[in-house]
Amino acid sequence: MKIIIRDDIPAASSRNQRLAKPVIDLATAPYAILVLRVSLGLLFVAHGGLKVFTFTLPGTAQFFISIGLPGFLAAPVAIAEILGGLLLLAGIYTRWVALVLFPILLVATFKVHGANGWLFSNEGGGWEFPALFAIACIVQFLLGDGAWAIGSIGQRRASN
Amino acid sequence: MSHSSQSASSSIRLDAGTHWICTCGASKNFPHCDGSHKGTAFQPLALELETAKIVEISK
Repeated sequence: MKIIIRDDIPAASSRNQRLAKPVIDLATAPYAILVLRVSLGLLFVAHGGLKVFTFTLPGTAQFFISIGLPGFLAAPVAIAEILGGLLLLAGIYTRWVALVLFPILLVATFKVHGANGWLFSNEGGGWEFPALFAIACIVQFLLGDGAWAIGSIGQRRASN
Repeated sequence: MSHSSQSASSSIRLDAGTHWICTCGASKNFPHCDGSHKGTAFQPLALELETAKIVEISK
């Protein structure tokens, strides 16, 4: 009698199994995600704060109207930026917050800075910065929480 | 899990846990023991798997 035992490798390996190991270093990747998350969070809080405290909401609404956007969006966008930024900093619902903030940056890229040319130092600011900012949001959406996220504490406990 | 009963060799996927493997060859549910060894000198083999494995057993 002979018994051969082989590892059970599923024929259709999922996307995770194919990519998780070879392409990223799992020891440092969570901290890379953390750096991105904190940078985005700070940037959003700063931009939301700028709209509320420096330009003030009526001022922001006026600016929106001047570039052909509805003025009533000023408050929702400022709130989304501040709240979204704080959620990113805390690492709560990171993926979904990043996805929700993405359209704001698309508008910033195309409507607000689109006419200024691509170079960041152009008058009024070229669109390269908001475009990169928008892409960073999508990257954050694809990456998820990263290290030290409040949102993933519960999950970690559940898996232990 | 596929049961290929009464063949000389069978390759099956076994989940984690303990599996009783027929050693007498009389099992109608080979490679699983079905108690047919009663009255023979054979005892089933306890196969403990920590994770699911593909197990190929030939008589």
